[in-house]
Amino acid sequence: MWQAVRRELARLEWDAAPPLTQDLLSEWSQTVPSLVAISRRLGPVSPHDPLAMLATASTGAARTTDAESTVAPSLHDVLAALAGVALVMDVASDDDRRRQVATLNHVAYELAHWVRVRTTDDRARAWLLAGETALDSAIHAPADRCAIGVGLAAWQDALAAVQPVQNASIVRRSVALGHLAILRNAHALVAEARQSGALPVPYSDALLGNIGELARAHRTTLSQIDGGRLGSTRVDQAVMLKLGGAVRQLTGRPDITEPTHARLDALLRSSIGEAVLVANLTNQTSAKPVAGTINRLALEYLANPGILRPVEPRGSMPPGAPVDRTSALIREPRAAAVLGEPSIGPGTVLAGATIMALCRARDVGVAAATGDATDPPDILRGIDPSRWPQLVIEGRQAVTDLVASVIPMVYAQTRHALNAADVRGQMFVELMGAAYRFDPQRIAPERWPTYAWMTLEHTRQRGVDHSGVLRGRSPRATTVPLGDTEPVSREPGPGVGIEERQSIEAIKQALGRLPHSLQVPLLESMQGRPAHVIAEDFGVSESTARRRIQEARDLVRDELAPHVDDVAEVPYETVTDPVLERSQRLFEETFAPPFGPEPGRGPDR
Amino acid sequence: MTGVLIPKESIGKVDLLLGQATMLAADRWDEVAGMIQQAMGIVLLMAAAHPSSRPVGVPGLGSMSVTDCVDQALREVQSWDLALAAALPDLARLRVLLTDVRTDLNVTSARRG
Repeated sequence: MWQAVRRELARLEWDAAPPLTQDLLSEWSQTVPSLVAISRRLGPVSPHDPLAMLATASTGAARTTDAESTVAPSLHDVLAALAGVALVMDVASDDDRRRQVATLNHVAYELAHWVRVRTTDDRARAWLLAGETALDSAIHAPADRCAIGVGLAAWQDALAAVQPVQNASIVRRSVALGHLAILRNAHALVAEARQSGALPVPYSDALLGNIGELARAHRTTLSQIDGGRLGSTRVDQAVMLKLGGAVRQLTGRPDITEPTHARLDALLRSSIGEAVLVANLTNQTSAKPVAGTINRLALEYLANPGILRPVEPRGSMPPGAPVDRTSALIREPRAAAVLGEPSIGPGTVLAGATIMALCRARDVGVAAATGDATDPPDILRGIDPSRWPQLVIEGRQAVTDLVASVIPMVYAQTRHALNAADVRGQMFVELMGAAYRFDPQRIAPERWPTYAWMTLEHTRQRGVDHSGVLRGRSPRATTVPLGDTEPVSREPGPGVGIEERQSIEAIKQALGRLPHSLQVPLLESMQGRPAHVIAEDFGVSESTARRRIQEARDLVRDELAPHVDDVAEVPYETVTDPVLERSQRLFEETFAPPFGPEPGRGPDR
Repeated sequence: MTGVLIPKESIGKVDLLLGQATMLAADRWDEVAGMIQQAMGIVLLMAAAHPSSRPVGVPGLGSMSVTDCVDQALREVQSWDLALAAALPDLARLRVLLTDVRTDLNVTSARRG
């Protein structure tokens, strides 16, 4: 499907005497719609799709006033090849679609770069770089778009729309004002990231310094505009509305459910709100070099996104500093609802009032998740159903926090346990259940830790079997004689022994079929040997040993699946709750065993 | 909306005033500057949606302080008919923001003595 495109891309590079165009930007403007057309065949194209952003940036480049024409090899044959792809593009599956999207992004990126490096006009090149960066970002460091990312896409779109009227005072003023809002937002986020250690100090300082400089340059721009003469230039209202709408989006209250690092990430990916384009539009001499530096810093981030580490949610406490957060919870209940992590440190001691508040949030959340908006349950009466989804999130957050407050207990309970990892996993399930069941109306709220401890103690005593599954509760059937009929004996019947022998034989066969590298770790694990000892025996990292044990279990389970069709016992709870998964992850991070794998170890991964 | 006229010239004035305030607070990074920018964002869109047919000016704008700009913008907004809320959905938010900014600015200046 892409062969013709590939051939034309190669020809662009190697053709010694290619047909030329007198206006590369014009041809590029005709080529981009073909790329977008292919994208449309693959699915809906949202405004923040990298192809849509490329289209916006290309429009901006094409609208650059008095841009000098660029003579370059013609894109005509590439355009024809892309049109051919758009005609035959068809996807058979999601995997196929993902592959095609990846190919399209690569082709678009390569072409955008090719056009940019040949474009002679600096301002047009800055536009093309914005489109190229959007694709670069999608290809090399894909990230989910957040609300601020959508706002920034609208901003880029507005900047493209004002290109033809950029000399109007009212436009330059609005662009400078809007960008000031972006800079302020960025300044706050970078300062926060610097303080929390999420961004390296030298990088943060460079960003903060340049953001401040650019803000002062915008101030100069604004001071030079005579407000009384703003209305003298007639500018298309649609253009001003687009610009006003984008500024409104960017100056609105931030979505507090978006983690700080996600917002900062979006700003950096946008080269802090297309600083170079803004500097070109405002035409302020002092703004251009500063904007260029900000752009370089943003590209540095794009090349190495790891320099921004996730920031702890506001209000979270470092492990080992248990402090109640009653006042914070009451003052700002939504602030805790940052998705993904508990809002308190592990083991934080919660006051009774806090536990009451968390249980209340939990109950409201559960009701919101299952309630009928036309006939709301009592607990939700008077609350607008549009707020229910947020209440569900807050409810889950409350359960996460309840679990986080007692997480160290899991470690205490499993420190010397055989199959510790399995027991812990089961304890998390139990703990989640306890957090949902705990009723502060019946049990004093301060007794939540005791309740959790008792739950875990019960789990530990029951233990898990060699497959890592919690042993079932013993049946306590009551025997009732029916007249003269003898009650059924509780002793296993003769058939049970045969079935057991058959089962054991099936397990042996399944184990025997495992490859040696999986079989031995599993057998050793079944004999109670800890994972780190198995890892040492094999000369692999502990995580590799665990992975092999798990893989072996999965294979045996799959092999035995046909034998367990008639097993009456209901499987224990499956761990699918995202809150639980987060809690488990948090636990592992907080209490990583001292004999953990050395960095870089794991020769045969 | 019938019967309530959009005060286009007044919106233009508030736009100028908050633009000036935003400019003056350009290198301030505190909450007050953030709220001024929020208010500016609201009025910028209002002004784009309801442009005045006549040139609008604010006497002495260039020599006004942030507090002066906010004070005058608030007076201007408070002169608008509350029935405009249906046509200008951000009106309430704008009023609240300007009131908060004014309070915070007064507190800050009082602290400074």
